[in-house]
Amino acid sequence: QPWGGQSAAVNKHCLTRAWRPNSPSLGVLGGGYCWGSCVANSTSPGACPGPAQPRRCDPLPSCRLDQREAHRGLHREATPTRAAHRLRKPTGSGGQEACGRQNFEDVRCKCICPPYKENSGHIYNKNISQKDCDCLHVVEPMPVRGPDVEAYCLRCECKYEERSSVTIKVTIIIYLSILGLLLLYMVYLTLVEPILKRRLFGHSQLIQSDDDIGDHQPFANAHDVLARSRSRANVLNKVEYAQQRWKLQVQEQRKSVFDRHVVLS
Amino acid sequence: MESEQLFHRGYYRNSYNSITSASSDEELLDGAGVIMDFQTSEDDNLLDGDTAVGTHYTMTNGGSINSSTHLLDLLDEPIPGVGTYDDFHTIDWVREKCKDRERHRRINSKKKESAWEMTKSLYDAWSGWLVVTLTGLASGALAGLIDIAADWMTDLKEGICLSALWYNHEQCCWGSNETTFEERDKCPQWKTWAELIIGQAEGPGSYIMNYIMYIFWALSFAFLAVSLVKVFAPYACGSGIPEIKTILSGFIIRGYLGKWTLMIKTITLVLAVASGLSLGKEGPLVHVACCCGNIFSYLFPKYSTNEAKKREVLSAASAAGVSVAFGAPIGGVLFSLEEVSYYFPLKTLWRSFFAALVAAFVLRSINPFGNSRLVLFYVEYHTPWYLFELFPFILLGVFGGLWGAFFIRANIAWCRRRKSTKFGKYPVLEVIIVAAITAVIAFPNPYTRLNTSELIKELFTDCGPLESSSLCDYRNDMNASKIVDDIPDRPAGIGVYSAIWQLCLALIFKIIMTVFTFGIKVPSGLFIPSMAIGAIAGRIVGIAVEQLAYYHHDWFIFKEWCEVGADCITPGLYAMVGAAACLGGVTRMTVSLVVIVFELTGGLEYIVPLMAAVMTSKWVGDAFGREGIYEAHIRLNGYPFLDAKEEFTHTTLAADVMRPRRNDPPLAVLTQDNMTVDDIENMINETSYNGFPVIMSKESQRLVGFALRRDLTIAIESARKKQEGIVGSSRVCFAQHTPSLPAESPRPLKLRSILDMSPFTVTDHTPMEIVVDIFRKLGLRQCLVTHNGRLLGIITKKDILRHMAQTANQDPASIMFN
Repeated sequence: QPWGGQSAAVNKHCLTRAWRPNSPSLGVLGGGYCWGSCVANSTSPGACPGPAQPRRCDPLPSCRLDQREAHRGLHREATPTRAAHRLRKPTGSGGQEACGRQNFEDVRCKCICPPYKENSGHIYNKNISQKDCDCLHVVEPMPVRGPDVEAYCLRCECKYEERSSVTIKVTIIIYLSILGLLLLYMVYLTLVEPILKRRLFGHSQLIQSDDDIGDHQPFANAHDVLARSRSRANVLNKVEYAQQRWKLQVQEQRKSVFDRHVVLS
Repeated sequence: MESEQLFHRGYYRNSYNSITSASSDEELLDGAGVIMDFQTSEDDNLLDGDTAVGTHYTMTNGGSINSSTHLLDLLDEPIPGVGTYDDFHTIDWVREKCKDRERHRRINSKKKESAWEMTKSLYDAWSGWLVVTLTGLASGALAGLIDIAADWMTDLKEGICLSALWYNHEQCCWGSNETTFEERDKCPQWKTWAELIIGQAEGPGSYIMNYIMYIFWALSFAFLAVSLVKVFAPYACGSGIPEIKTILSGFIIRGYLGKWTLMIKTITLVLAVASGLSLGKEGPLVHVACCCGNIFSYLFPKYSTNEAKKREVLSAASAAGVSVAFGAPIGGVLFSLEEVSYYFPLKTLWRSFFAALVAAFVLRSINPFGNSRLVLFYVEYHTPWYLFELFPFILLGVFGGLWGAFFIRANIAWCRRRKSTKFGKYPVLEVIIVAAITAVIAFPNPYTRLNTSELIKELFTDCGPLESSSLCDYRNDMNASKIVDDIPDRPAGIGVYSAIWQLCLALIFKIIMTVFTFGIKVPSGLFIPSMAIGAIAGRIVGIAVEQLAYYHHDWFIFKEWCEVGADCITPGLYAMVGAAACLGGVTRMTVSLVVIVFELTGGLEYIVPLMAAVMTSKWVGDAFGREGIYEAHIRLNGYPFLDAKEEFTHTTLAADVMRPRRNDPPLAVLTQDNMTVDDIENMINETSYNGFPVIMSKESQRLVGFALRRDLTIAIESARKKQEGIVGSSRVCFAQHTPSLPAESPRPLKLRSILDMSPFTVTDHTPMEIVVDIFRKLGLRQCLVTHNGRLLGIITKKDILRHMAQTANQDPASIMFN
């Protein structure tokens, strides 16, 4: 007995339901499984029900009617969302050019078809609305003929997927610009500023010799600037002051993490 | 002693020199103490005097309204800054809770007065939900950013999407029809570096070119990450969970949850993940979410001024962090409850739940992976499992426990080495070396070259007919018109055997590299590498069991369930169980881990195997050492974390633990009304204690209350500036009534408002078990010891931690900070 398994018997379950003539339960839920079993069995003659259910077992057209339910159950696709319908776009005439143009569209229906008889496995990709996302619409040209179509299509798994290329683009651009700014600032703080300061203090040392320039580490002069900026009070100084204070904080953090190893080691 | 040095330096610089350093609080961008309801510039100067010079910033400098004690003399004007804490200090939960209750009462009583007050009280009532909503939104958005950027950067190591530079490999080939069944990720738009540089896609030349570019990118990402961390925010390194645990238990690390930490952690996390190091982004995401929570709590006075309340927000934020990290909202709430939080009332539970929900919702609407899932490695199984499979699951649990124990030992030993020897002085070099070794070894093996999340995804995925990877290279019989779901067990093909070899090598590589990677100075999480190790081991075991069942289906254990042509073993499920077991071995989580994994897979039926494996792994791990990796790191760093899970069973009494000890100088105490300002300042300068008991008189030794050092210095400074006639020889009076003084003496200084008049006391014969329990449950910072009503000594949280370390035969000096 399976422990905790629930869907191992999906197909059998559907089979029984599908063949119940005029069953009212062939509605929304049942349709998903039952379409599959119906088509699968239609390959073997005689398995199809008689005139009681002609519409159900007429392979292609009726399956199209039921496909919305069908792929919900059979093709285990990514969560269907209502957005799909809004995003629905008119598909081109098909063929390579159309696909080339639609490369970066935001919706796709991707069907993976495993090897079948002499056909090797194949991946089909089409920009198509969620409603039409099934093997019959996406697999073009159909590699098999006639009665094999259903068997082939049953093996294919079609997934409807969405993405937002704008989000991706914007995110990457935001990320890269922040990273770039930080890098520039880092280069400024570690390389440019010490040189500038040295030059500045090199000149001013003649006048005021008490300035300490011994330490060339980044942020090393934060104490000085803090002391000096306190005396004046305009907006610029306030900004500078805040910056210097931040530098001091970072210096303190750096000491405790990298030098003294008291935290985060 | 580290802490004393810390304190002294901070103290001298901060307090008495602070009058000269001026600034206004408003420019404190970190939001420290922005919300205050006093306006005089002198107050600002005063308070900010300490924040100005260095040691305190960012996190928790709530300027306080009406702070200090709950039995406060309402007539006294509140002194700003009183009731806040220094960096690396422990908060007093009892005091904070009292403060909040009092504030709440005040708002409630004013509510009826006017419509404005009514609005204010409504805002106050709602601010808890608002702040968690904002936190959830921010952490969801940041997680989305990290996911998208990390995916793109990871693929940048291999090549680039020429037609749209911002797409990763998967997105680049999104609409391409040129992908084939065997090579699903090949499309003309995606160019590898070899194709771009030397113009050929195949052959040894291109392999070497790709190899070089891979190492180059890995090294540059790692270098950028570590230098950004070093220059801008050293606190952004590591996983952050041990520190967050400590902070939530009531410790203060200023700047740890600040804006810069948030920004640098977010940015460098992407770089670190992309550099291919054996680390994950899940742990750091918790830190990122907590930073969001802390920053948003500054918008609401209810939370910004109260450390205990702020920790409730942080608990909720950590739930949101896990929720977006694993796409497991419920798992996140349980993680917060089980692993990180210290004080977790029901109200916080609901808020955590809500924050997790909001965060997951935001991440889902960003849809970072394009698969409508919150995580890359979401899988869905529906295959059943059988009773006999519990045995391999438990084996996996044993493996997970062994791995956890080994990892904790090895990693702590390595980190201790880093902490104590010269080797720790070269963090940049260390990161570069680790990244170089990782990249050089990882590239040749396809399973280690992959992004770790993708590796986990591949290992979790079951082999259907749609899979074409070498892990699924089974020998097929093509005859039947079988339906997709129902693939029977099959004999393994050559591909599977070679994949197993590669997986074994990958397992060894991951085990070794993760030990050396966790703890380097870039943001680095542990969840993903641990899960990867477990998943590899699980998959190998799964394939082995599957083949065993195929070739020996007449064995009595297989006979009943695995007939020929039945699908009875799912190797992907073993990978999942292995991942959970390894994660459980390392972190020693149980409930939250199982919930996280089952939310990952959406299969309720696998809870029993997961529980069995996780429980076994915890037992096995606990046999080798009781603490998980986070507790081990807390102990390594000596954070004052009083673990509620540990038991204290020694028979010592309060008198054995309290200070002063037998040969120590007597306790530094203040008397209620016969000390001068100079006396107190001298005492503050000469000692490093963080608080002083106040007694009636030296003779009677009867207790009046407790005054904190920080409050004393701030109050005296403030009085010297603001009040007329306070000089060094002024009397300081803690009593209700000023004593009668000679006519010519200066005005007395009343400090009753900063006195805590309900300090916790125990008698000297109280067993330590009870004292420890009081400290844990109430979150005390210190407790006074009396004998016959006379003050005898004091027990601080640090004393208790030292005592516990001593009884556990550890070095008591390793406990740092007060």
